[in-house]
Amino acid sequence: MLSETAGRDLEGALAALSRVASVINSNRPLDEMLERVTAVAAELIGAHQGVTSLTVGDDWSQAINTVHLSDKYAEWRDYDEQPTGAGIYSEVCARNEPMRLRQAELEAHPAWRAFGTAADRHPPMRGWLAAPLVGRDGRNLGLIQLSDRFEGEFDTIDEALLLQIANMAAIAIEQARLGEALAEQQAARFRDELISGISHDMQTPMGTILGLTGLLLDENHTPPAEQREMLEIVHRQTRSLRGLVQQFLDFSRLQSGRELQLRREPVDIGAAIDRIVELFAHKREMIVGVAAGLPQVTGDRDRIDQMLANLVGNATKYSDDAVRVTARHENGEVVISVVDQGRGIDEDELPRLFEKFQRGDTAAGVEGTGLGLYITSAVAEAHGGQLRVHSTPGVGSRFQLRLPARTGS
Amino acid sequence: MTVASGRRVLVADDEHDVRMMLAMLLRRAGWQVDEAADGTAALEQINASGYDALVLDLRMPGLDGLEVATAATGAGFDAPIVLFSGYLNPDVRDAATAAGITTLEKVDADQLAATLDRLSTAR
Repeated sequence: MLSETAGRDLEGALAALSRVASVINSNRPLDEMLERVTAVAAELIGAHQGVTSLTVGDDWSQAINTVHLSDKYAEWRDYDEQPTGAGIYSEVCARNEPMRLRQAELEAHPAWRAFGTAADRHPPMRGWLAAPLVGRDGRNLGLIQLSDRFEGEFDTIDEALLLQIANMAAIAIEQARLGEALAEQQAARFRDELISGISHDMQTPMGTILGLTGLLLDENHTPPAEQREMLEIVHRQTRSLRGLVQQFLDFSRLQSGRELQLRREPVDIGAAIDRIVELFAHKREMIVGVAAGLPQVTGDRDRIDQMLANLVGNATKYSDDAVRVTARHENGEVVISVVDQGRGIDEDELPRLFEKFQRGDTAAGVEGTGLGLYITSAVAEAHGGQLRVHSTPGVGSRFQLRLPARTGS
Repeated sequence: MTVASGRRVLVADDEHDVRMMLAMLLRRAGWQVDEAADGTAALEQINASGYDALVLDLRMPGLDGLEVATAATGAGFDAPIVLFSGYLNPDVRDAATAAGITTLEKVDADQLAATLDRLSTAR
């Protein structure tokens, strides 16, 4: 009898614990993990009912509850009454001790309160085994409860097993909560960085425009040649400001899941490259090569300018040497390449480069919001095209914007 | 014409348009202006010739503005320094203030000449 029990214990315990361990290591969201832990506990100990509850302090109204019921209790599966904390289960949490009672013992217990106002909807019980979920600092996190063993009554081995499952689940819960707290911190940091980026990026053109228009309005005479240069700068910086505003409008549109609005008109890529290169020619040497007979593309001229300005602007930000901008026709696509000889991007950063707020380590010390490539990539896709990147650290980066060629042009 | 007549200032900013604007603004206010396009060049120019004021962009390739300012004061530079920047995070602002460096946000570029006049006469 004893050896039989011990044999079942070892096999069952190992199976249960390894399944709980794999649930814990699967890095699932908290509620999903609780569902799995509840199911594993009920199935492996062999009980028709399992409930895991996570309290927030002593507040049962905020408790997260996951219920596992076998087919025997299928008709109660929509039972979702929020516990009040008045039941005998709260004893387990208050004392951080497991409890194991037969049905008669349960109903005779001084803390038994039946099912309160939910009595007519609560599934009937048959015996009860409960183990507390205890955090690392000894504070209670909630509990796991089982009822109606498949055969016979809950025994000491079931109790030891459930306690062990509860201990492992408690570690996983704390890990998951830590993960959620970190994700929130990260989101807050992204928000701060975005605001700081927006603020910085807008201050430069605004300050420059204010400074120069102030000089132009000054009663002291400005020589015509200097006036011309000032107006060129004001014009360029106003365009830069317009690009930033466009970027944030796009971002907000993409965030809320709306589509970008595009005009569809024939666009000459050679002319677009000339327009954008002119904006950056004062910063870096620009080498332009546009294949003869390049077909037009169908798209939004301003958006195509916006994408080119982002790619060429990045190249000038991350490289001190000449920037090469070329365009050619390849298999029905117009392929625009922007090549710099800058610091390049690490291989492990490339896969997430087009995600929002992803700025590589190499971006340290360079201004930016982390939105540019995210938006450029989205605008390329809205045109039926694609943005690609190839980069070698220390050698430079090649960004390729591929847009479908206009047919019949 | 102003208190700044004949005085020399170094303007360091990697953004061409901003550097041009600052130079024009300060020349109009009577300063004699030298320019640098990055932090390393700025520090070399400061060490090579004396200036009566420095206007340094915070974010520049090579040395950033705060590093240039710290290196310059460490080498005995004791004229006014304005750290010119977009958004300044509180850490940088505190570090600058602790080092006796005045900060000015880029959006307030039109107040630069007045700020330098104030700092120069306060000495």
